[in-house]
Amino acid sequence: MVSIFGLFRNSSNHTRDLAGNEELVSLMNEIKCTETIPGAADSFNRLYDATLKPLLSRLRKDFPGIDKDSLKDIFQDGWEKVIRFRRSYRDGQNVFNWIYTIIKNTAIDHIRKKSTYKNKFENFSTQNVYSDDERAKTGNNLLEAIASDDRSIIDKLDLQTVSDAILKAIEEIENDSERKIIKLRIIEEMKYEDISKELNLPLSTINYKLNNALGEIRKKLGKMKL
Amino acid sequence: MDENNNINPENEKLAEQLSDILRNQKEQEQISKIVASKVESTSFTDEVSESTKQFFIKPAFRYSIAAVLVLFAVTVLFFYIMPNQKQRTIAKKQDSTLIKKSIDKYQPDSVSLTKKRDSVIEPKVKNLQVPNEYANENKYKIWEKTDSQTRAFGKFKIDTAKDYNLLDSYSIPMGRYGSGFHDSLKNILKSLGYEVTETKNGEGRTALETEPQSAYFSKFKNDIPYKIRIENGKEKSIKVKLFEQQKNKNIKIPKSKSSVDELYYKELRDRLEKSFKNK
Repeated sequence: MVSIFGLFRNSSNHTRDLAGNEELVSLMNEIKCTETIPGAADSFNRLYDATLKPLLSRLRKDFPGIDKDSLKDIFQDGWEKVIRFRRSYRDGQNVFNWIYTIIKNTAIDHIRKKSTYKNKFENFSTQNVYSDDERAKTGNNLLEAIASDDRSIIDKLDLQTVSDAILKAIEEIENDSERKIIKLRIIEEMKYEDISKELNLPLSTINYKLNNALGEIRKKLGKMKL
Repeated sequence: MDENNNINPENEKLAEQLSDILRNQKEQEQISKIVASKVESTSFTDEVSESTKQFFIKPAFRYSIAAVLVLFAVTVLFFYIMPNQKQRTIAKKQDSTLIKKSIDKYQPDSVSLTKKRDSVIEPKVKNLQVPNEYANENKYKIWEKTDSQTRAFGKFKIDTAKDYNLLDSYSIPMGRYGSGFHDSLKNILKSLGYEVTETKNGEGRTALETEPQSAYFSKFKNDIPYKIRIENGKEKSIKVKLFEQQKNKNIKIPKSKSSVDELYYKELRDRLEKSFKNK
């Protein structure tokens, strides 16, 4: 009989247990203060395990009928956001509620996206399909988007695509020396003085070559469309 | 390149932005990798609800419910019905044991049969209500129930008045196995040569046998009016006539179901015989 009652145990108990849990706060602070992501892996794993069951319970309660695949996607995206926005966690906040808010919003986005995709798929035959040229005409300039301070444009950027475009532009720099310098500057994020020492070149030469390389990248990115 | 051979501010800004994007992308990859390894190892199957569903769908659930019901029934049987039944059985046993013990303990000599018949014996129940017809006679014998516990099988004591010189005192087993005092006395009197007539008054013998509370026994010369008051207040009268010519007639002792009864009947018969002879 005990096992039967165990099956019906209310999920809210988990949440109540976790409210104000000092261990969660401690783990969250560790993740928040970590400079490098691999350094936060252990804390993340423990935080994930501690909150998994209550998060799942509440998600199932708030989104009845949610399927296994959707949950997987939501957890993947949600936890990525938790780590990415870890520094926005304020001391004293309820860790579980903070995490759940992010995951819940991710779930809402996911469901909306799924529903939009379904509608698009259903109305596929009636949709106007743009050609690459047409998209190129109407799309935003990549350079403008990168340079923009408008958050709405920045948030819409597909980070992977933009990164690939930047790396491609870097790789396409013809001058080997300039390409090497721009890599050290942009990818390795070295200071000019350090690059100068590394390459044993004067600072002025480094600056000159960097200006050339960046000009070339600017031109290349300017031609790219989002 | 500017005049001071410094980097162009716009280029500088672009370099910062590109660095940010690449850094973010790198971090994102690391995050995705860590999260993915964790998410992949997680089972998102609703174990509780699935197992619950399975539990309810499976016949095992029905069997479990049946088992619980059976368990409940057995519990009720063992802890409620059976103890009561047992108690009833024990009570029955105790009753029969009591009856048996009472009968076994019965000794005609132990009662006042041994007393001298001429001695005056005070009625055991002083304030016993006596029917008017006998009130002034002082010629009645009082039947007194001696033990409230032995109502169905107990002893009734007869105290006889000195004048009648019939019996001093004796006890008669009542109502055992349906052979009540009435029948016993009637048979004995018959065997002694008395004609027993009965005036039935409503209730009949059945009531007489099962519900006697007290009785008055009296002798008026040759007639012995025998009156029994029944519990519900109704009365039954029996007149026992004495025929002198038959009093020395050989008497058959009525057969009884126990030796105790036989002893009693013998004793009673002897007493009655002696009593009439002395007259």
